[in-house]
Amino acid sequence: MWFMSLGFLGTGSIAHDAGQPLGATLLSSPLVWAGPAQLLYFSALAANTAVFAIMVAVFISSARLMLLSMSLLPILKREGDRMPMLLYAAHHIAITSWAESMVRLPSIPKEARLSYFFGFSHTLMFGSTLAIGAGWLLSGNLPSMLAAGLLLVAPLYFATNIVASARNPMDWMAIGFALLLAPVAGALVPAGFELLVIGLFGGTLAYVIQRILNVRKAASR
Amino acid sequence: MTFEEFFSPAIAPYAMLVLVAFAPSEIWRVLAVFVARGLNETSEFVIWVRAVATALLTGVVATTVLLPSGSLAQLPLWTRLIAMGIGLAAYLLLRRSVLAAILFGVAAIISAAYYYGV
Repeated sequence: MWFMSLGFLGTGSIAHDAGQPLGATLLSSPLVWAGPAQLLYFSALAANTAVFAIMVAVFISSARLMLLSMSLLPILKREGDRMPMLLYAAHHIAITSWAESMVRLPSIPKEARLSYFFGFSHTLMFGSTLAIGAGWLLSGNLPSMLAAGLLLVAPLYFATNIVASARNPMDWMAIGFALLLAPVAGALVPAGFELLVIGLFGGTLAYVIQRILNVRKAASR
Repeated sequence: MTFEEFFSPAIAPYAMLVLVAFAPSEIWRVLAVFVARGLNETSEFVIWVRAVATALLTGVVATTVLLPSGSLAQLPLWTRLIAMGIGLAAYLLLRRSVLAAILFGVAAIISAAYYYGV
């Protein structure tokens, strides 16, 4: 999973182009902890986008964090965990730590899940901070061939995670509908909203079909 | 008034990071903590959210391949699809090794980039 940090090399180099100091670039990883939001933020700064417009774009792109957190927190939380602990745990939820959790946590006893989660999410956060700093320092010296390879690390990693964490027909339907919806959403939906549309439509359709199948199964018994 | 005028130039990048990148992201996680209170992993709502999140993650993969950015965008769509296929095949054939998927997939796309002179 450490190799997911490699994606931050590119973001670091963009932060350098945007004239951001190394400190703010490094801090963006543990503080924002959402790869696409960091990429968007630094790219928009590099393009001299209006501050308010950047804020809105980050807000929209991070809406998925609520979905990821809502589905993961009930799996993570132990009896008696209080609000500060839950907020701290939620801060570590991003798409990579969520995907890894969905593969690993279900087979781990409930009491041990949060410690396990912090183990790998802290490692991931540390690695990403190093990588975004390395990207800032390397800025402009990254061959574009290698950059193309780095851009494919995330989709490859997520694809294996999707396959590994799918455990019932609903998951496979959600995957199938998302693949069918992606080209349509890419063409019709305004930039920045594609993922939410794919997720909400594809996921809800899969959930509804599974619900109908469950009701039929129960009725035929 | 710009950030640089309001804060001192040394502080501005950090203030901006907190207000423009951290706050609009973190608010979603804080909301989730309040909404997810009292929910357990078997509730229908959590099952629905899981379906939506699964579709969303698949969407991340699909949009990176279909609507790529940077130097990946200079390569034809079929090379990106084949590189993904090679990566997934390596994963399934080599005892579900994630590292194998990454190495084979990345090697495939770097070969394509070399061929197309990207």
